[in-house]
Amino acid sequence: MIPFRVYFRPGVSLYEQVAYAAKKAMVSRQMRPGDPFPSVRVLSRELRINPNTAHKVVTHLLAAGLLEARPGIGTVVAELPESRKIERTQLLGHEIEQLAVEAKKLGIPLEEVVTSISEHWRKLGGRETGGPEAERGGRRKTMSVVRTENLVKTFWRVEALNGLNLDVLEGAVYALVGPNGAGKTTAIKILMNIFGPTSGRAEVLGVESARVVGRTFTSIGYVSENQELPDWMRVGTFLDYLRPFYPSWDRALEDRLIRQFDLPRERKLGNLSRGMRMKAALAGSLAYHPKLIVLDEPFTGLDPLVRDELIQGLLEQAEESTIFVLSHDLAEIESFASHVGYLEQGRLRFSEELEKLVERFREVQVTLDGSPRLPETAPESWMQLSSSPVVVRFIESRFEPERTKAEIRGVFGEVRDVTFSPMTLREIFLAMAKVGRNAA
Amino acid sequence: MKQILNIFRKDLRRYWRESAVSVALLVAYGWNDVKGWAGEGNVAAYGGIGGLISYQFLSGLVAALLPVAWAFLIVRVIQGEALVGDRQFWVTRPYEWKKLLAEKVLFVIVTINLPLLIEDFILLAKAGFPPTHYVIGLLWMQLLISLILILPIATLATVTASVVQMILAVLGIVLYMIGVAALVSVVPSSSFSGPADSVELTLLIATCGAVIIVAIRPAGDGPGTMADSGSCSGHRSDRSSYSI
Repeated sequence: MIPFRVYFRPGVSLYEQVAYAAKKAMVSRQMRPGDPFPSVRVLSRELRINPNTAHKVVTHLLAAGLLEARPGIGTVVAELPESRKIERTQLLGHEIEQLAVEAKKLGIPLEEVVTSISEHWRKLGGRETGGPEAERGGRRKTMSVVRTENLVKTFWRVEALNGLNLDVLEGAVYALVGPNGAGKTTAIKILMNIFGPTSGRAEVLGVESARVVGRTFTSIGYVSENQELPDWMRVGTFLDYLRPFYPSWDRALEDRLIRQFDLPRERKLGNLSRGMRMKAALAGSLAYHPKLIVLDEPFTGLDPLVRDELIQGLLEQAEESTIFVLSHDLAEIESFASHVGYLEQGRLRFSEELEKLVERFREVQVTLDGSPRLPETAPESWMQLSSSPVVVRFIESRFEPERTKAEIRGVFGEVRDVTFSPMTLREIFLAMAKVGRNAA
Repeated sequence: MKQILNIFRKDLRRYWRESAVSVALLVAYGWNDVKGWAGEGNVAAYGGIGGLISYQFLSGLVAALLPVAWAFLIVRVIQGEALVGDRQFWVTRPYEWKKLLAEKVLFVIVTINLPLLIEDFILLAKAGFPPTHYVIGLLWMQLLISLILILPIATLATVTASVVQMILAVLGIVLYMIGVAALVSVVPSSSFSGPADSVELTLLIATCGAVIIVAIRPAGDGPGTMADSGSCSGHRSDRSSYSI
């Protein structure tokens, strides 16, 4: 685990974003002088960035005097002497000038700029915490972009969706996850009006799904792993063909996406690798600034480099679009989703902000003095209860430190030790899937 | 109109070979026709008996291949935006069903009807008749060909996903007709001829038109679509679903 989080944003290089997040963790005292700083390898692995980028981050922080290399220990957060503060203030000169220019350009008065800076300053001081939404510049809004009510879909006797209630707010990066056959693709196909629902309602951008036709699609970008593309067309011809369909098609953005994805305009779509085809499909779905981007398993079977490129391309749109993504690639989802929903057997088991979800799940290990006996009744929020000679393990799905400790004492009496380990989205997903399977 | 022309350009770029073959066969058909008038009753005109046989074989072959080429072209262009299936990229693009339908009609007119009309004009002129005197008759012929030949093929193409499926469907229809014919021969009193013929023809044409519109029209644009129970693939597209 690395001691800071990075929510990658468009338009800024990965290196700058990681370096910025690290600096932010240092100035907000999340990382204190002497704290070990993650190695290049750990940074690269955890943030899924190129090792060269990770190396560049560490070198930059070392050069800026924010880190120091200690023999035998590794790289640690440096003590910042007074003199460095002046240098740092001088270093900010450029950023402050930029801020002043942008504020003047937008007609924001100085007082508002100062108030805004004070607010951010206060947040960094630890009185408030900034979740992913704050990181994304307060993108949280209240309008539902995707909404379903008691959505049911049956294929003959098979119930693919069983009363799905979904609400995706504008500006969210919503990931719908779930095991195979959970009904994820069916849900998306109903939303895209590829299927009709058996009963219930579905709305996309305020339009009933059955009416999602024609012009509505000028505001929707849909990319699926199973989509059939016109293989006979060249990449350039494909984009040329799509362009007239979209009044908001942005030629400059199209060119940028082509460069960013390294797409060969002259190559036929049928001759492209899977990853390149996905990139071509994505380019053809992003170039018109869609309000909603719908992705069905976009990362399946792609190599890490292509995934990074796709995610980067998506995040550059994230500021102006709502992203609704189905994926099994939970590690990738975790790196950029703001909300997550878990679908199982056609029902939504939970749907919440990723940050809150990760906060409420903990792997708990209770060490007892004697041989443990599993309790006959445990709190409902405890999952996968198991025991070994002196240890009981379980997953707490409603973690609150004091309440959970009290519950443990209530069940086991006095215990020798309790540890709470954070869980990744993948671990949470697996735990939920196992519970679901056992229940079935 | 912009959308119609955009799809039309795409179709023309993709199906230019099929279109060229269809036009070439039409030209060969007309050329054979003209040659037939010139050598009528004169075996020597064909270079003897052997020549006559090869001429007759060739003109027979062209006459048989022409409708096949037309059918192939119609099926390809309609199935280019296949109605059957749920994976075509275009079903989530801003296609408008009326424009899509109009584009397919335009394509068939430009690649089949128009060349045929031009050839009819030329043949009439070659035969010594002033074509301008027969415009209504020629247009009536075009309408009949469209209703009797093109429309049924287009209807089958909309409810099938590939040329193979289409051929199987045609075989099924042929077998059915053979069966009906056999039945009629067993029951001599039954007859399909008479005044009912025109009613049946009208019904056939109306059914074909309705199938195409229902298949192409999206769900949100009025009642009745090829619903989920749908066509051959078992799925449907509530919208116009023709894959490039």
